[in-house]
Amino acid sequence: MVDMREMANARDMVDMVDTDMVDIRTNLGEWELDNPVIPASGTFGFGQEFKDLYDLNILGSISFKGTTREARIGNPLPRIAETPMGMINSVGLQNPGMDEVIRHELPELFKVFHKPVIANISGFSVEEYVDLATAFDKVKEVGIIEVNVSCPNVHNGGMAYGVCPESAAEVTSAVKSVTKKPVYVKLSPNVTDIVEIAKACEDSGADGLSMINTLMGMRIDVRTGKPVIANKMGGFSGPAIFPVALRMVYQVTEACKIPVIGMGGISTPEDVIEMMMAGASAVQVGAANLVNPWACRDIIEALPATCKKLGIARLRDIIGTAHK
Amino acid sequence: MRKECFVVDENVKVAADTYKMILKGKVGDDIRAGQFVNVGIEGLYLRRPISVAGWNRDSLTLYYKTVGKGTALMAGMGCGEVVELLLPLGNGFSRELAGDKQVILIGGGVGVPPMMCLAEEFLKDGKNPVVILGFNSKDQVFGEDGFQELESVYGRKIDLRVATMDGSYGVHGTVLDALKEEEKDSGYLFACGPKPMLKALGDLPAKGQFSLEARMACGFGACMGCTCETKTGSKRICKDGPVLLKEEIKW
Repeated sequence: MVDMREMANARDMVDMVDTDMVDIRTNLGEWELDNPVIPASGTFGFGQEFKDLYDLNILGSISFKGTTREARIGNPLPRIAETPMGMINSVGLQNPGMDEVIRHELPELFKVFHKPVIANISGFSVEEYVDLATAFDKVKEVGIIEVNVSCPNVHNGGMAYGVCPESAAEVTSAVKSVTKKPVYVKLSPNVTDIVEIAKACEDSGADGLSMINTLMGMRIDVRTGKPVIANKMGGFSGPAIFPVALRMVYQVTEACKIPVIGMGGISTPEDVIEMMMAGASAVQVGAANLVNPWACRDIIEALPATCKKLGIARLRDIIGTAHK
Repeated sequence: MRKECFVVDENVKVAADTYKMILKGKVGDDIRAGQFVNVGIEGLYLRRPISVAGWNRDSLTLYYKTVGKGTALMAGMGCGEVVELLLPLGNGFSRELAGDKQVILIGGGVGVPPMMCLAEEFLKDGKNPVVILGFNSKDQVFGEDGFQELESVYGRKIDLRVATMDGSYGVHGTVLDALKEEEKDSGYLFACGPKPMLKALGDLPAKGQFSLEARMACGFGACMGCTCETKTGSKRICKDGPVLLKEEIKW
């Protein structure tokens, strides 16, 4: 960890440092990533819409579209509403189901992406999470299983597990019992005390945490007096939620030892650095991909120069500096 | 898909709440009728999908109706302002599927613009399209001049008919009232417009392709925000559409 005063001193020297010399690698446990930038689940599909835009192998990893055991057609339209500096979505976990994902979507992704991926799974019962983890445990390219206990869109679904420590712990233990791959629990911010839930996951064997999922939000069309989104409420994301995400990552990394992947409105290299200073070991970029399909590439390309400007020689040294 | 900056060259009101915007910039040669661009607007998080009405090497023509905050901001843009577009998006119309049938292009309201470049493509193919434009009332009518210009440029005839719901201009009634009986059976329909119009056309025996609308976030198939169920499975309006075969649409 670098002392901020040392960093200020280092800043005087940075002009002498080539941006090629800036080390932007980071670790999630034993897995070393080339850089901390990972597209967030649900904003990047299985990479097919982005593969012709830039070489996906520049990414740290990819968290692919949230997958359930059975195929889901998702929620009725409209599913999207705009907010100042953000958006609300209620897609409802539309996906082709785990068998089809493993048979078709992932082989297509692995043709163009040659690093470990993050398997994002969502279940409606503990058994479903177990089945999903068992299935993705067998896929050698899966580096982390990211357990979504927080999707706000499904009635009687993921939400129930993410909002109380006991059920979050139950899912974590169950998934851990069927896979040797690192298990990261993706936490919901729609709780009273996220630290309590994070600790329950850590105590149940979680190898890390992904946070935060979307905040529950809503818009009403003032011309009709009716909710904009057919499902009435949805998940609020985008730069507007960044300070909330940052605060929660800070609080959780203060209390937990396991690594955290930070996310929520990240759209610039400065946001990546700020999130890592709050305690995140890596980050995910979500809504930004939808507005600028090249967002992850742009951030990765600008990261060394931004580090240089700030006197950061090794990105991993800044993880958690805000706690000092 | 590319991201390009364009400069507003013209932005004028052409009918009630309806504007025509000409943008100068690098267009490329891979746009087809029925595709759209996603317009970045200063101060708004999401882009606004607008269908393409016409293009050449260095300019793009869009028409839009001011229905909300985004289009209201677009209406306030002056010449020289820069907008960033994602383009070209969506699948576009497949003209070849019409075969030898009489092609009938039907646009309702802001569904008219994609029919302008589709008409141009058919004229280039050497076909004379029937074009039917539908509006609520005379003050909303636009686009006739565009089709007339195409006639003179290509030296071919367009059978242009306009219908208004209140009868204040052209045929009194809907676009269906401007269709000839035999066209409802043996024509091939290309349509874009409000859902009730498309549904009414959907009940006709003639085959065709309809361009649909939906609230979108990304516009290029990543977010699943605009997926609809069709008789041939889930389709993303932005990427697998906006043009669907008439036969596959579930009403």
